[in-house]
Amino acid sequence: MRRWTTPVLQGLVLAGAALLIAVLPRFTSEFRLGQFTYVGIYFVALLGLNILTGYSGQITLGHAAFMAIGGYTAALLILGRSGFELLGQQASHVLPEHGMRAIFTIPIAGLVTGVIGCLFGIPALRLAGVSLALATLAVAVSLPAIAKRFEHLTGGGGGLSLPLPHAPFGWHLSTPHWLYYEAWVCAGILFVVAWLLVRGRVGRAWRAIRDGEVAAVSSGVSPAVYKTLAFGIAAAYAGVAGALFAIQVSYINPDTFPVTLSLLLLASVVIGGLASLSGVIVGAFVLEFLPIYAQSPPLVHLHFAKQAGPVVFGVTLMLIVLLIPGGAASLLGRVTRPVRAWASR
Amino acid sequence: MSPLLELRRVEARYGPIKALHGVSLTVADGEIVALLGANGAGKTTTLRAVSGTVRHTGEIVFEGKQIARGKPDAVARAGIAHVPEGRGLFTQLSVWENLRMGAYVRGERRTLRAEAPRVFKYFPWLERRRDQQAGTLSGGEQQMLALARALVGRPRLLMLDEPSLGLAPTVVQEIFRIVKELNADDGLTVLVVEQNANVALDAAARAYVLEVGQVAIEGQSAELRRHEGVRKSYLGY
Amino acid sequence: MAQQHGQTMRPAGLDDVQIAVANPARFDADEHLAFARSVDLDLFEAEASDLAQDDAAIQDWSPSKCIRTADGHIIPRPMALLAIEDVTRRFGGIVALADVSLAMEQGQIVGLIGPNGAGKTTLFNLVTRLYRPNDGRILFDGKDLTRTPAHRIARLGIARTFQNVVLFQHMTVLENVLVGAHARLRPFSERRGRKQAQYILDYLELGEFGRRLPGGLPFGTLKRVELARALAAKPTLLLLDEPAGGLNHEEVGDLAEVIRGLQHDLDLTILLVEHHMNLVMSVSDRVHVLNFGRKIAEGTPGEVQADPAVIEAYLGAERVAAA
Repeated sequence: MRRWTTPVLQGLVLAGAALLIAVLPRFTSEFRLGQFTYVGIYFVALLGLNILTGYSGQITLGHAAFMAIGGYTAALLILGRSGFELLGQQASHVLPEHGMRAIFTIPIAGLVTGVIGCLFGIPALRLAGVSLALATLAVAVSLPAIAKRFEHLTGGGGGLSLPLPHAPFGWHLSTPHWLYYEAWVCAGILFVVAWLLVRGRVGRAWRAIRDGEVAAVSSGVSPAVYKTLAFGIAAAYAGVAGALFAIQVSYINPDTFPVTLSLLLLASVVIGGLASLSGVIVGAFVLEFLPIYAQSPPLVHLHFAKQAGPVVFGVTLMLIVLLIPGGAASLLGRVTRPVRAWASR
Repeated sequence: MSPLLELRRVEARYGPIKALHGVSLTVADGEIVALLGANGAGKTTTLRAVSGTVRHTGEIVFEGKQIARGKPDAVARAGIAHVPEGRGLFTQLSVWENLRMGAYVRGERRTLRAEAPRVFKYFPWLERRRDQQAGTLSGGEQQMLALARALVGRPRLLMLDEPSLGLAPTVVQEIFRIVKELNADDGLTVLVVEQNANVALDAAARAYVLEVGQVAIEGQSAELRRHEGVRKSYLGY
Repeated sequence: MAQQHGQTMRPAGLDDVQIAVANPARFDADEHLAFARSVDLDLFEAEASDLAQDDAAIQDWSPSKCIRTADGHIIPRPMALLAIEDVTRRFGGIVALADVSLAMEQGQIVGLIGPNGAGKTTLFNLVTRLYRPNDGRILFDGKDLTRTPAHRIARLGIARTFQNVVLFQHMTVLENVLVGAHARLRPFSERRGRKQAQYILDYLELGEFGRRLPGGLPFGTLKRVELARALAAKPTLLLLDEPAGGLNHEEVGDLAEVIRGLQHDLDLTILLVEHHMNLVMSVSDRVHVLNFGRKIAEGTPGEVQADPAVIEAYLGAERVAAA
C-alpha cells in the first residue's frame, strides 16, 4: 500500500493548475485575458450547480437567477445612495449612504444569495425531478420582470452602470489583470471549499440521498437538511459568480442573466461530468468558448456566421453528449486510469 | 437429438472482473434443468449471457442457430423468455398491461387473445385482478405475474432466476408445482437458477453445479442428491 | 375493574394480579395502581413478606413495568429494548397490520415469519419510522418513537437492511458503508471512519470489494454489503430483512454463524425477517408469526414449527412431511 502517492499526485496536478493560471496573463493579450476571466466566473457558478445537480441530484433551471441576485447585490453595494444620485436616479433608503469597494461586495453577495437559496430550498423540498426543474425555471423566468418592477432598486430595464473597476489598495495591476486574478482567486478558494465538502461526510450524504433516499434516511441522513444545504451552497456560489460578472462588465440589467444562461449552465455541467469537480473546468471552457467559435472560423465560414452559430453550438453539444455520455470527467478518468492504478497499487 | 440450447465455453465479464470462465451446458427440448451454485458462482450471469443482457465470448446455440449477441430483443423474439432476479415487472402498470407487454414479442392483441386463457388456467386469480397495479401485489403474486407474463409470449425456453427469492415456503412449492405442470402438459423447456436445491432438484430432471464461473458437477437430479459435495453445500443432509 | 376483583374475594388475590399482567392490553394502568394498593396485605401473611421485598416495584405498579416470577415475586419487568404495542397500520382501505404487539429483550434474536404480504416489511418500516402507525405505539429503550423523525432512528441505535437491497449505486462499497456511519461521524474524523468501515468489511469478509461499485456484484454479496452498512451505525437493534437471499445451504449456515457472532461479540439485539426456515429456527430465541397483518403465533422455534395454524398458513404440508 502506497498511501501517499494518490494525494501527492493530486497535489501536484492542483499546484500545476494554479501555476498555469498564475503565469497565463504573461502570455496572452488583454482581450484573451478577459475571456479567461469569464471562464473563472463560469467555473465558480458551475461548481455550485454541480453540487446541487451532480451531487445532491436536484435539477435546477434557475441557476442564472441566483447569479442575478448576487450581481444586483454587488451592484447596489458598490453604488450606495450616492452612486444612485450620480446616475441621476432616486435611490431606496435601504441602501448604505456610500458605496463599498467592489472586492468586499463579493462575499456579501455570496452570503445574501446563499440565504435566499436556502429559503427557496425549503419549499423545493417537496419537489423532485421535473417538477423541481419547472419550479426553478419559473423563478428564472419571473426574476427579470421583478427586477424591472422594482425600478428604484434595480434601475429597471435601463440597468445600473457601475464605476469602472480598478485594482484596489494602490496595487500596480492593469484592470484586466486585476479582474482576472480576482475571479481566479475566488475560484481557487471556492474550489477548495467544494472539494472539502464533497470528499467527506457531507458529500456522501448528498450522493446517498441522490442514489436512494430511503436507505439514506435509515442511515441517519436528513434529506431536508442536506437538500436545503445544497440549495444554499449552490446559490452562494452563483451569487459570487454573479457579483464577479457584474464587476467584470461594470453594468447589470435584468437581461444580463437570461433564462438561456441557466440552460447553458446546466448543459455545461453535464458536459463537464455530473458529480465531478475536475470536469467543471472543462464545462467552464466550453461555456465561454463554444458560443464564440460556433460563429467564427475555422468552424464556420464568416458568410454563414450569424445563422450558423446556434446550429453549430447545438450540434457540438449533441456530439459531446453522444460521444462521451459521462462528460469530460469520465474521459479524464479513462485517460488517467493507468496512473491511478499505479498510485493505488 | 440435438439439444434446444447449448452453451460452449461461454465467458463473460463485468468490467475487469471475469464472471464466467468457460461454461458449457445443454438443455434438451422438453426438459427442466436446474442450475445450482454458490453466491457469485455465475448462475445469473449465465442466464444473462443467453438472453443477451451481458456480453459474452464462446458459442450459445439455440435451435441449431448461433444466438444474436447483445440483442436481448432478438433473443426474446427467438423464443427465449427470461424472468430475471427481482422479476422486472412494470410496477406502475396493471396486471393486464404487464401481460400485454409479455405478448409484445408476438404481436400483442392476437397472441393475448389466444394465450391469456391458457395462462389464466394456471393462475386463475390473475383474471380477477387484471386491473390491479402490479406494484401493489404481494411478493408471491408478483413472481407469479412475472411467470405469467413470460408464458404469454409462448416461449420455447423459459429461464427463471431464483423464483423462490423472498417467497414464503408455501408459495415456493406452488410456483414449482406450476412449473412442473407446464412442463408435463405443454412440454415447456425450463432452465432454472435456484438456491432452494431441494425444490429445484425435485422439479428438474438434470442439474449443473457452477463453481467460480465453471461447471463443476453435472448429472441427473437423483445422482446429485447422492453426491456428497452437493448434499453438504446445497441440501444440508 | 378493582370492584370486580373485590367481589370474587378469592384468597389468592395476587393471582388476579398475575392474570392482569398476562393480559396487559385489557387493563388500564391507573386502575391497576388502584387495585394493587387495595389488596389487603395482612390477609395473606405469606405473601405479605414477598410484597414487602417488592415494595419498590409495587410503588410504581403498572402492568407494563412489573411481572410476577415463577416463585411468586413481583419484580420490575426487564425493560424490553423494543416494545411494539397494539400497532395498526392501514393503507387506504387495506389493513396491513392490525393490533400487533411484539417485545424484544436486549440481546435476543427474534424471528419474524409469515406469508408474503403478511406485514413483516411494514413492521420494519414502522419501527424505522418510514411509516407512522395509525394506532398503537412503538417504544425503543423506553422512548416512544411515534414522533421521532426517520433520520433520527439511526442515531438512537436502530439500523436495518432492505428486502430488495437499496445500495447507493454510484458510490463504492466502502462509501456505502461510510454512509451507514453518517450519524456517528464528526467532521475531521474521516480517516478513522474509513478505517472502521474497512474493518467492518473485513469482519464480514467483504474486504476485497471496498473499491468496487455495487453494480455487477452478486445478490448475496449485496445483501452482505447492506449488513455492513447497517453495522457501521453501531446499532443496538438490528433489523434484517431476508439476509439469506441468494445464498446456498452452506452459505446460509455461515450466515447463521455471522448472526450469532453479532449477538455475542457486539451484544446486538436482532429482529430477523426470513423465509429460510433453517436459518430462522436455528438462530432465533423466539419466533413471531404474522398472517394477513395479525399475529397468529408466538413462541420458541420448536413451538412455532409445531403450531397447526402456522403450518397451514405458512410452512406448508411438505415441510411437515420432511420434518
